[in-house]
Amino acid sequence: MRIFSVYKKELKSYFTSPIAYVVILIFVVISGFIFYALSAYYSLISLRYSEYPYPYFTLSPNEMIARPLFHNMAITILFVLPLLTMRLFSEERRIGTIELLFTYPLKDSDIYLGKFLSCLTVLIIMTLIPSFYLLILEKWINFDIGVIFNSLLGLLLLGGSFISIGILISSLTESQVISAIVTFGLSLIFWIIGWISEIVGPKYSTFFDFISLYNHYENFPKGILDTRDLIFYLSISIFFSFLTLRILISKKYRG
Amino acid sequence: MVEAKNLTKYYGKTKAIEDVSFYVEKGEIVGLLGPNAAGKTTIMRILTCFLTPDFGTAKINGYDIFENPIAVQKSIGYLPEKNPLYEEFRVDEFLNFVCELKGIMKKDEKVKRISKIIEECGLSDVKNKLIYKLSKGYKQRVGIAQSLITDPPVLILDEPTIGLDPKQIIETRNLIKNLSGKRTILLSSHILPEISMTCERVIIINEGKIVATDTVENLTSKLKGVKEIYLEVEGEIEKIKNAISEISGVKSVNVILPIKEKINKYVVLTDKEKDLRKEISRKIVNFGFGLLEMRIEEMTLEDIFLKLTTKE
Repeated sequence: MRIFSVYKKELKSYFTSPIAYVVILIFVVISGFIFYALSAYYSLISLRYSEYPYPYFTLSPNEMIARPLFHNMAITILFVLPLLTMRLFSEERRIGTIELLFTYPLKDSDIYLGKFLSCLTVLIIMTLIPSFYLLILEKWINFDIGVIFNSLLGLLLLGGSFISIGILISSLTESQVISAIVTFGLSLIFWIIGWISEIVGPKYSTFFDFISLYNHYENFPKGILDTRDLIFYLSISIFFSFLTLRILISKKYRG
Repeated sequence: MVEAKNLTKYYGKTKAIEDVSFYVEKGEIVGLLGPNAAGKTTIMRILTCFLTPDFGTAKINGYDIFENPIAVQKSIGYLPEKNPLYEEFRVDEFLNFVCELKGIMKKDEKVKRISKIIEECGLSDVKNKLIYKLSKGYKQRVGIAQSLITDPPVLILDEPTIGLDPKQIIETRNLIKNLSGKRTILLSSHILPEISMTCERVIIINEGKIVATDTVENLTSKLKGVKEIYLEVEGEIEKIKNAISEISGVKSVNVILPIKEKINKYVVLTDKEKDLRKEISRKIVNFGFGLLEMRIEEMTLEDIFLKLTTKE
């Protein structure tokens, strides 16, 4: 249960400093704006086509509101998650509290997972709020709830990958600013790396397509739960977590 | 209780400590003394499993730092050098987290320990305050409180009084003294009176190596071998020198510097066992010189320290 102790401490840290509130607020404002824009556009279009039964019935709220909303939310968390992960190890190293944490009877993995899960919790809180908008709208429009949950799952898996990248960078530097910038850059590169798959030729295109975080996300808002995507995101998170744990150990050896 | 065996640690190519071995008995208070950058913190970080030594190993409370780091960490309370704290928390909140992180999960036990430690460390007035708002002295107490909260058998304190004002230093020193008895304490400092006042035994370390380890008294007498008597006498230098030299047991007489005309300072080195003040004073008075001052100069820990850590 040591993970839980670290988790509680980290979560408390997030919410005693303004950082979590600020990040959640920004995220909610942005996603609220996007939600408003999308649903206003949807109502406009459906009003326009209300006289033509055929196109009217092909208008899908899932396709027109939920799916673009989740796409935009994915990009928004790409921007805001580095602000949540930047402090996790960098700040402890700079202030020196890392010396407390690592001399308490805790395993490195307990510390890591506690931090990871606390950040994931903030992400869950953050992404649930816009999902509520959809549930409210459900009163008037028929959404496919399953698709929304699927998108939410995709968002959390994607977020988990971003978090694991962020914690890795945070464990490497004492500066929170550098940690945030590098995390953002690295996440963005993994997000857009699929773009060059058409240029590099057939030999490498599958590789670049495969490691792109974006390509694996696409299916979730469509309502497709592909185990390949699931396993991809989990392995990305595990891979970066593993690297972070190795770095924590190497810091002990190198001083 | 604490046993270090041939600890060696490099930071890149710089050697931090080399072949450090020592043993601390149960219930002992031992001071780790050395100038800055001598390797004190490195030794403590290795003992607390924060760093891994390149060679050698250590045992605390019977547990090896490599084989059973968690058990080692359970048996120690550690106060790091700069006393880092999670300053965004309140004192009682912070201690609560420390309890949980150290594995005390039961609520009533936590409450009991926290109220006890708050009492012991004199934190009752500030327990509801945010740590970053506290004065340095109180922060230091919080630091000591977090190291003590699980009542560990071994305490490792890295420069516990650094940066405090004299009153706070005395308070902290008394706190540490009160802790002794059951507990084994290893504390580091580059402030010598600190060590001589609190510790029973000193390990002097310089440039990563142990240069001496003994009790304060033994170190003093071992290094001295002679007693120094300071004199201030009015009269002719040569005559006085000759007169004092004649006394049996006097090894040498050195003139330090003239203070005024005819008044000089002398350092007389004598056998360690004998107290020759009576003979010297009688002789000086008999010769008709004016004896203005005479005292035995005790060798302080400072002198020993400087003798050991500076190359001649």
